[in-house]
Amino acid sequence: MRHVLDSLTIMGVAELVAPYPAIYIPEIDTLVISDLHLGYEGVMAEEAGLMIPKTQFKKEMNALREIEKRIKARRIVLNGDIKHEFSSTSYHESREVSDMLEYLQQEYEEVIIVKGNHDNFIARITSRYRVKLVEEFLDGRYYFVHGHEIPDGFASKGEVVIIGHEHPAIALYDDVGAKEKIPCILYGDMLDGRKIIVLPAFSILAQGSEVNMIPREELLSPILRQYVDVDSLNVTSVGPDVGCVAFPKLGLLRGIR
Amino acid sequence: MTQVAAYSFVDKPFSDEESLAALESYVREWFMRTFKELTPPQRYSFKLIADGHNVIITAPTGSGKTLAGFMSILSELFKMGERGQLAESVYCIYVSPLKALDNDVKKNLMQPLTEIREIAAEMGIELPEIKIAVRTGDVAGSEKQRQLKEPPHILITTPESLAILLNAPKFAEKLRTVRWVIVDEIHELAGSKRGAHLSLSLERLREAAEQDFIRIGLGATLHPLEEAARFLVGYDDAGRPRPCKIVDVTWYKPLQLMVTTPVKDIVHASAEEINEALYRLLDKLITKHRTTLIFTNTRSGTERVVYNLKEKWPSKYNDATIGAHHGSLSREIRLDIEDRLKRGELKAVVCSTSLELGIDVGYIDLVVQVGSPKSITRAVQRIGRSGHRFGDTARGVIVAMDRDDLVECAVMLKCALERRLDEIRIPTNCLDVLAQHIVGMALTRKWSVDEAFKLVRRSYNYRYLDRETFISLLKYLAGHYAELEDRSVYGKIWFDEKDMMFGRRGKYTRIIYYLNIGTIPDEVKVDVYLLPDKRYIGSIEEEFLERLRPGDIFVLGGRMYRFRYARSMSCYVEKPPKDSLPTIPAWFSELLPLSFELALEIQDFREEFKAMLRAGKTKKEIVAWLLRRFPIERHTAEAIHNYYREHYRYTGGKLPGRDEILVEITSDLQERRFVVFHALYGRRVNDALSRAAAILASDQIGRNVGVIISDNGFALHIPQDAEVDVEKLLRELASCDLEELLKRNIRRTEMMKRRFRHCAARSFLILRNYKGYKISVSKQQTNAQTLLNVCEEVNPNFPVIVETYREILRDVMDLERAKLVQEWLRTGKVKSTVIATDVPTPLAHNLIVLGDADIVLMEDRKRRLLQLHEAVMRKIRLAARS
Repeated sequence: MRHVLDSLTIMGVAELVAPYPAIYIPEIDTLVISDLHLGYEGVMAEEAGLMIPKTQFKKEMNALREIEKRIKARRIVLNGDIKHEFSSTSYHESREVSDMLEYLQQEYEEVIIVKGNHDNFIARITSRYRVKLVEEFLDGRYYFVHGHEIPDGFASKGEVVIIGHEHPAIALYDDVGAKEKIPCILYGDMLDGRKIIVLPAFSILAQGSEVNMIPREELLSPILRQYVDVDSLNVTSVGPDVGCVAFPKLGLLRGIR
Repeated sequence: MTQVAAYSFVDKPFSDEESLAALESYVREWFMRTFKELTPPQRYSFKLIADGHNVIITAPTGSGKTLAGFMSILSELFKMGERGQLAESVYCIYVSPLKALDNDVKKNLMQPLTEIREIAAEMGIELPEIKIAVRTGDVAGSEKQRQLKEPPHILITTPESLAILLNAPKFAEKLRTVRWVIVDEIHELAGSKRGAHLSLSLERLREAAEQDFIRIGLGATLHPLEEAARFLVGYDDAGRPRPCKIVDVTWYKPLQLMVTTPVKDIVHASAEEINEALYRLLDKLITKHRTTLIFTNTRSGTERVVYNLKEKWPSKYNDATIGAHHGSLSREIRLDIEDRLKRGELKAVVCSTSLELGIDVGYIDLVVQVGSPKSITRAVQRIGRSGHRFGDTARGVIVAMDRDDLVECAVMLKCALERRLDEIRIPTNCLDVLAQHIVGMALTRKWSVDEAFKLVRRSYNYRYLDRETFISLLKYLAGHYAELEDRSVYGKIWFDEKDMMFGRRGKYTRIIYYLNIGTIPDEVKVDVYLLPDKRYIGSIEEEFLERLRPGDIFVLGGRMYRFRYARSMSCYVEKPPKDSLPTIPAWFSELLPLSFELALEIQDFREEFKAMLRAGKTKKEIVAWLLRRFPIERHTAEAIHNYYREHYRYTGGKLPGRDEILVEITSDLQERRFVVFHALYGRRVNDALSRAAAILASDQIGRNVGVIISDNGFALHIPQDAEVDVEKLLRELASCDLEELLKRNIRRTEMMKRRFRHCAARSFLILRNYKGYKISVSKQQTNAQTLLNVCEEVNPNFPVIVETYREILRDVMDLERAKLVQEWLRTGKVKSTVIATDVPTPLAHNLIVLGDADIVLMEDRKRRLLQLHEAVMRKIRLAARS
């Protein structure tokens, strides 16, 4: 079946490291992932009384090792929301973030962390490692921002914009009414002619936006609301348990019952 | 060797002289001055309790049950007081499931407590005051402080508050002297997890007390009584049942019953006409009686009835004459309604189920039940609220809202008149409830696993718990599923696996225990906001949201809304166009199930009915027969007749009677395809059979399958382009290992997610209250599916998961009876016939309109996704063509 993909080349500039929610950009020899939400279970346990066992960190680490085996990149960009809690840095987070950075600095020549809205106080941890913590990152025509706000000078930077933040997923219903929520990568043209790639969350626990149900003006990312006609974006499912399947453009997935 | 039976029925009452001789002179004197005679339960209880027996007494309301339980205890307490043996300590604990009942009982005991002292004073005897106090979640902290300073001799409480008391460090000291425990409304508690919770509290109380206390169980209606006795008294450490005397004076109250329908022609009348007629009927009934109590089964139903009666007849029905009573109303409103009801100021009170239990409701001369109460026991219990005075006749009218209801209620009331009850089922080995108590026990002291296990097994609910499971629960509670360094967060107890000892851990654990105890699950609510300004309008259940597709129209708070989209725990809707109709039925996930016994009775009824149709009996003859046999009116009889005759005619004589399952392959007007199983076994059996059939069908066609479930049968909702081999499905359903099949596949149902969340909350895996804050669901952010996945990955035998399976297979489903039906299918006792219809038969119609209750997902998620993808592409191509 031609819709089931083993690999996906995104607009001739990046490759999806299927089935993981990660992309590789050959031109700048860079691997990109986003929205790791480390420490999720610990934060849930301490703050919300949800005593679920910790599984996410191990899974994310395993995925990173698999990815590393397949793609030898010089640099990795973590495109925001490395950790989960907004207001402070919990003990659980700092442990998981430290362990992961320890691993990444061993495997990659350069580790870049683009700050997301959950990444306050993260400098306390990153300062101990050989990583670069930035608000945004520009390399040639590639422009990395987390996507929760529009940075100054956003309109004039880069030709390919890479964001996270939204955790895009699509919701589909079958004949008997069963709902399936599928994490996806979105990509296509922006209204100003640049290209955009919206990465799905690397986190297995963070909830996603059902982008084919939520109206454009209600999306989380102001970049998607103001600079993109989301309905024109391409949609491909991503994730070890769903595989990599190319869907029609987002606009066609709206209103499907 | 002959063994003395632990449970013995006491058939003959004691004489009044014997009974009264069991009381102290001043108590006897008070009783004789206040009452003319002893009521039936009192003729047994005074003496039995005075003689120190455990006893279970079932009797109808208004039969002096409370005093039957308390009189001998008051007498003994006064005697101790007279002799100066009464310490500042608790001697008697009374537990009821209802705070309102607790308040009532205290009020009712104040009179004897005061008057007996006065009488004794007349006789020249100085008696000290017997102190009595209520302790429930509603009681203020200052009052609790006071109770500690001046402990009541009689403590009135609820199961939850008792469990908290056992952990109140100073107050627990005062429980050492307990000599009597009264469990009221035992029929309400015994069959639920709340009862399991109480049974463990009683064993913990036994551990805290200096001696074995006398247990007294009171209830209105209960069957079988031996089972209730086992629950009440439990076992001793040697595993022998504690003895118990059983007194059954249940059927003392005469009943006058009737089933009716709002309109004569219940089939062709529109929903609106039926509703209009319902209000007219209610008005007629209320007007003809002095005080009417109406049960509606649901809270929204209660609100609707009150609203409409006030709206239609404002001069007759207003705040002064009618009131609503249900659990969502504030305590003040409920108390106000109860008080005015008792004082006889109200013409009518409408309630969901909340006035079913024994608070004194004063003079009521008619009980109206809207829709089927689903069980004979419940029907009797509710109707028994009328004619409160000793010796009165209880009068009840059941208003059936559809034809299945009608048949069901007719047969139910006949059984009630014949004094046949459905059976109570006591849940066993509930791990979530046990988890709470282990935490409670660990908070009090260090325990060896052996002594704790011994204590737990004294409860009937845990009689057969195995040690391995007990230890797995200890490990879970100790947070052994988390990494060592995280156990301070995850662990609620400390457990040393080498020494087999456990005890308390963590500074928040005591607070967690106090604030999260209990067994009644909080439904996970999703907030609903109206677009465009996102005004909050109410909430729906998480599971209901999962069912909504964009564009679906549903009813909330009596208004219609169209679903647009959802974002984690919020749901956004808009106003639908005028004249829209709901596209998704109001979905009650937890309807009361029809009992198996009653279902078989209805099968017999259908069988007889079919025989008459076959014999060519006329409408007149059959209606006459119905009127002779059942407490129904002529138009009701005609409706039943028409219903079955239509089905009989339409199917060429295939009305499923005794031991017959009719399988009907059909489609509805929207061309949705169904395989309908007319299997009249009650919902709990059908819960099992339907899921099994859906799993088999899903595996056969490699697709998701929807399931509709009712008491009268179930239906599989099959994708349009799939073809099920029904004969093969039936063969597999009859021959499969039902328990194995369900165990392996229950994961594929939505019920699993919902129940898992409940069990997780009861097991303190999800806390509703943490560090003193009420936790909002939106803060917990994680849906039930994710939670379940994560726990399962860590350990498929995680106790919370094990408990979820147990609850589904043992409590929700009736696996034993489902297996029985399966065996009947195999041996040919039950026969199945397959037919195909273009339009659903009358029997199938009532089932299909219920809407899917569950969906069984096909096993392979990747394949599921590909099918969805294909469907999407197809729909897009179709849309492009048109």
